[in-house]
Amino acid sequence: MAVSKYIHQSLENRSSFEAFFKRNYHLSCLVALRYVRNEQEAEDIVQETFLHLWQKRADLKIQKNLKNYLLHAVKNRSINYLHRGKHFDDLPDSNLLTNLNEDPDEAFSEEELAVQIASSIDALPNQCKKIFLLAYNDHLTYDQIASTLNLSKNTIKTQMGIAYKILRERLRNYFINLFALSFRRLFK
Amino acid sequence: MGQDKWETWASVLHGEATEPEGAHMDAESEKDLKAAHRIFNAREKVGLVMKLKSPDDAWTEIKGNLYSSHTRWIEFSKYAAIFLLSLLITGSAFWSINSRQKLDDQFASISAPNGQITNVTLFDGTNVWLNAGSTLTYKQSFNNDNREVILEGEALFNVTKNEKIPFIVHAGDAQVKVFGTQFNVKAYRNDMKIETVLIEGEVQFSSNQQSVMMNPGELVLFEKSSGNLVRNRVNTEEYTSWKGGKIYFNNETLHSLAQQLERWYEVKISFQDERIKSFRFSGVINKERSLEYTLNIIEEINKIKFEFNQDYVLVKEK
Repeated sequence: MAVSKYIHQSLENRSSFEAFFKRNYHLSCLVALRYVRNEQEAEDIVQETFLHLWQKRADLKIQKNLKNYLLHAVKNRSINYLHRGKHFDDLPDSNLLTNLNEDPDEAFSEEELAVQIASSIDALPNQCKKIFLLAYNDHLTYDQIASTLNLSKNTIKTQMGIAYKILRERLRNYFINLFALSFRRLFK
Repeated sequence: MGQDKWETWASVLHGEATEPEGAHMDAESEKDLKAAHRIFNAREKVGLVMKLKSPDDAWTEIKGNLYSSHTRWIEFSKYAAIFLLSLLITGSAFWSINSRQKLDDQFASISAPNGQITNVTLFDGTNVWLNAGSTLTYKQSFNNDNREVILEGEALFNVTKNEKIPFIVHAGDAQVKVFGTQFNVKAYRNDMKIETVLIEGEVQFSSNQQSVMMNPGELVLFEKSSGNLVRNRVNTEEYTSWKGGKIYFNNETLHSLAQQLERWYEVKISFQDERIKSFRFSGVINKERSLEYTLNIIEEINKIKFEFNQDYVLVKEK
């Protein structure tokens, strides 16, 4: 394989790139939001990063972890943006990213988890989702939710239990991977 | 614990119950509980995800740019960002004698009385949300040649784009200049500072002494007495949420909380003791809720209580 000419499969054509984009869009935005404080800024940075990645695809020498490369590029671009360095053309050189090798899968695990949770919440049964979000997102008390939705407090309590149970089930595979990782790191 | 363990954990996590004592758990339950904690602790980041565009919408936005040149995209995004600029000023609007004379009869004004939020559209198409107890003054000749307004109070502007004629908001001794954007200005009479928060794009903030270009997500605090400027990064949402009848307080003093409540609920709030004014409060206040309800919540999480009198509310230490 001629390494210098290698194009990652996610960058091979438009539809593979589209899938790669959609899979990693929210995660990338969360990474940007570690540095910039508002969503619009973060989304702009992320979209620019993806675009740049696509335009420079022929020059990139990434063979394995394109996602990890993307997340670090988002991180760098965010930091540049904060410093108003405007070095938007400088995607990080894949050989120079030292922290790429340190913790390849753990580095953005909090963001990864949040994205997983968000999509799991989205798939909750309607009523259950509504109740859960009022408590989880809007920080309402059970009494407040009960009066808002005209339901008994007991219903709120039950539905909250159900929500956590379902979420835990949906995230089971994810948690297993996560714990396996921390385990592996422990004995490294 | 059995099958109700999830209910119990959810209640404990959300502050509805206290930790059950001496509950013995098997290994599986230990893992489940750990997972529940992780889910709960991720709520802030999950909340952020929910505010983002869907990946499908974001893709629709960028796919057209995949074949265009890089520079064009950057140009486009700069251009787009200007439309999304949002800004806020807190401060007082004391006018010098001179500017008062200029007011005269050629000025018109719009007010939102205490307890109300008002929405108006100006002649150039600019849309303005006025928060309770605010007044917006503009020349009667306000049109496409003259886009200057004077604000006392707080407003969210959605300014029609016009690159030739800037839209200028005068707030006290300061002014904010933009060409077409969305921004929020807060300048109540009894505040000693002018506070500007920029959400998107670029804006020029000028006081008598100096002029700065602000960065998105940045707060510029202008102290009237000293003329000092302090720059800081903030969570911008906390500063624009009032439009939806919600307001976020992040470690604010009870004094400034009381000022907001006075405007929204048309009550007078007094403190039994000056010291209480400097107590700190964090939380969300929802205008849809009654005053009693709101005060109850504040009481629950603070060492204070409210006493209702004939025509005012007294704040006491618990």
